[in-house]
Amino acid sequence: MLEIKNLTKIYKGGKEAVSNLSLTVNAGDICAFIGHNGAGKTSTIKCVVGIHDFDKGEIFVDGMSVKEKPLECKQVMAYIPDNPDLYEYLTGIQYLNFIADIYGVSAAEREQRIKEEATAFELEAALGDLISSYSHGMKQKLAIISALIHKPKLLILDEPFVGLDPMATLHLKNRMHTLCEEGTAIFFSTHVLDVAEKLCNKVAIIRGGKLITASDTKDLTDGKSLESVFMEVIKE
Amino acid sequence: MIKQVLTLSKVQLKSLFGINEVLHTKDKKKKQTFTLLSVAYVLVVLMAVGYVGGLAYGYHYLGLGDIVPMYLYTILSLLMLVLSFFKAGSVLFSMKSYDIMVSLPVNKSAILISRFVTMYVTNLLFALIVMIPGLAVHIWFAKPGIFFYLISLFAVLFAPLLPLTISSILGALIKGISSRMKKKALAETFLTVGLVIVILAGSFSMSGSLSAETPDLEAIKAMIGTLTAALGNIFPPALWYHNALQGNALHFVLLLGVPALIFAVFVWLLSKKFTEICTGLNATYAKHNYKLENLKAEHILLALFKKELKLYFSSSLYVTNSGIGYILSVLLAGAIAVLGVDSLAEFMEMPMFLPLIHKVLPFVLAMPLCMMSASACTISMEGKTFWQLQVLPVKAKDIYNAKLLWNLAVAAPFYLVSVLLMLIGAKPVLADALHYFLLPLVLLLFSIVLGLACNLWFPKLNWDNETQVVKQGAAVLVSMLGGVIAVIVPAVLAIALQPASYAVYYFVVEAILLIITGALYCSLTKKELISVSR
Repeated sequence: MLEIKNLTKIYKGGKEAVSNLSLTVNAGDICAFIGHNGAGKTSTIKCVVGIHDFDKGEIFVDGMSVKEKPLECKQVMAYIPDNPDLYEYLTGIQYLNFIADIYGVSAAEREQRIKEEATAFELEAALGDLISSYSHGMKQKLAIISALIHKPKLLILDEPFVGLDPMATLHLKNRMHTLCEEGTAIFFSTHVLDVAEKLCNKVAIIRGGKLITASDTKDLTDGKSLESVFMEVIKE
Repeated sequence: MIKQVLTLSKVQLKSLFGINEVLHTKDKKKKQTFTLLSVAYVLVVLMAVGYVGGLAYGYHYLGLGDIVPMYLYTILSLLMLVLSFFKAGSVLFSMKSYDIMVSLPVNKSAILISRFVTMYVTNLLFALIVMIPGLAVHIWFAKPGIFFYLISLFAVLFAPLLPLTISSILGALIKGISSRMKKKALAETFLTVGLVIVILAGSFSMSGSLSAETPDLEAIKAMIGTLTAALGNIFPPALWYHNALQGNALHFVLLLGVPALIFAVFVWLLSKKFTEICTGLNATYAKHNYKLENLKAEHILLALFKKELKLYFSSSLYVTNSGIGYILSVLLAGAIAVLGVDSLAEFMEMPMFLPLIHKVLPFVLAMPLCMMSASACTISMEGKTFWQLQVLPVKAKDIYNAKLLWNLAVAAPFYLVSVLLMLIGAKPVLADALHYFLLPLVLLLFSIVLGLACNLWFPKLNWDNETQVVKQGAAVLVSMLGGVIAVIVPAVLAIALQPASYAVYYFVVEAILLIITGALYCSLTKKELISVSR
């Protein structure tokens, strides 16, 4: 579902944020992308979702190149950033309606999906309020609901659990599992290694813009904790 | 306390004009933008210098040289009042960065004063641009002694205090009243626009009262005393400045003491309730009782258009800054409808231009309409939410179209009312009447497309305060200059060339402008959103 081939991203000023990175996430995979601050996680993610241009390499989503068919790729994926800067001048429901309009989700479908997710995330009562009145966690919940509104084939999340309350965290983990069973591919960055270990069937580790390893979680950990494996790999 | 004020002010001033960002960025494009912006600022300053210098020269030429310093001082204070008034509320009472600052071991008064310092410095720069060329011309003619320089130096240094205090009080009042209303931003916009109209009407009547007392050149010198008294009645500090220059020590003390005292008392009172005012004014109200029902699906373009409208009306600064030109066009056309072209030209002290004004009236109408295009900061206003547009499966062209359509929809009612009022007042023949409709429309379209193109060339997405993009953005300045040039150049050519048929001349101008607008539109729609933030 997501295939990154030899991706290189160089920022103005010459800093190479991502260097020759190759990675594949198949349908039904939940892949955690871990690394230090500034390792290149967010840069990689931003190249995939169309926020950053990149210098070398190829990125394919559902078999389509993000450079050649950007709109078609965006239509089948959803992205939740690490800091949910949403349109604060809209109410929650106006925002969700806007996103649904853009993705062409029918009125009946959007109503059903918003109802389900807003109830689960305990956000329905607040949907009539301006987003500017929301807390960080509420914005994060709204961003998650908006990402699920068009049933994406590829879900990309940057630090999705930051700011979520325990109930919402649990719901998101369960939702990730069900999406994965339905064939959605999930690629997310995190610093919470415990969650990555329990939730993901795949783990990719990045250091200094280079992919150190990407493999099945079980194969990588081999009975050890992901935390100790991560520390070993990073120190090498 | 002084050390804290200095430290905080230093941080605040670093964000001014984006100088710090340019000094430390490795992005060559940002440095180029800054250079271009500096050139544009220099052009604006040169225009202002020419205008003020010319004004001072004119007064000396008419034998009214004595009132030049106080006249400049009055104009300066009025301009500073209007300029500070637009941003006082959002700069002084902004909650952004307040949370961080208030958690530091600094005095609240220091936070407040540091915010005043930013506005004071910008006002002082403005004061220097207005006063230096005007006073230089005055010095050239009057050859005053050393005290003139000293008194004027102190007068300029203290000049921003009173306008700053008044605009802060008005800004706080407007924010305070509107924060209690359901449609906060809309209420703030109405109150701001209302007050600006009152100030503009006041300045017009001031200009009228001064010109009414200047019957002919022979009697002008005898009228100096009357004019001085008239200006003094309108703005007493101007009279104190005038009298201080004549050697009145008491008025010199008043000139510096009164604004300083009023400012100090205001800051002291404000610092007592600063936190309460900040949190009160920025409070958001949530009902938390929404029930999901009857959602509707809409077309992508309509959804984007509605989003643009909501973004626009969510910021009173944005609406007032871009809308003031549209309002001015209606006021101008209304004045022409009521007074007629001839009376208005005389009232505005421009009787010498009367024969020419008739020939270029469509340009006169177009000028305020295309001076401040809202599209010039529509990309920058997306700010940190710009990622959203980049990741959505929408063509960049659709987003640009929605932004252009929204700007046109906002300007259209003002354009139509202005044209109709102008037709009533000017009573042109049928062939000319067509151009009263067409020329302003073509110029309006040009300015809107130019505004968006400028913002795509000079986007600023990383800002802390709307003022940085709405009032100080490079795109706004460049598009304003472009709009003014697009009106002035063909208008001046019309006067200089004196074409045999003005109708044909207008057709040619409209055709050229439409071609430029079309080319600009085609070029901007090729710009992908992914390249905007780079």
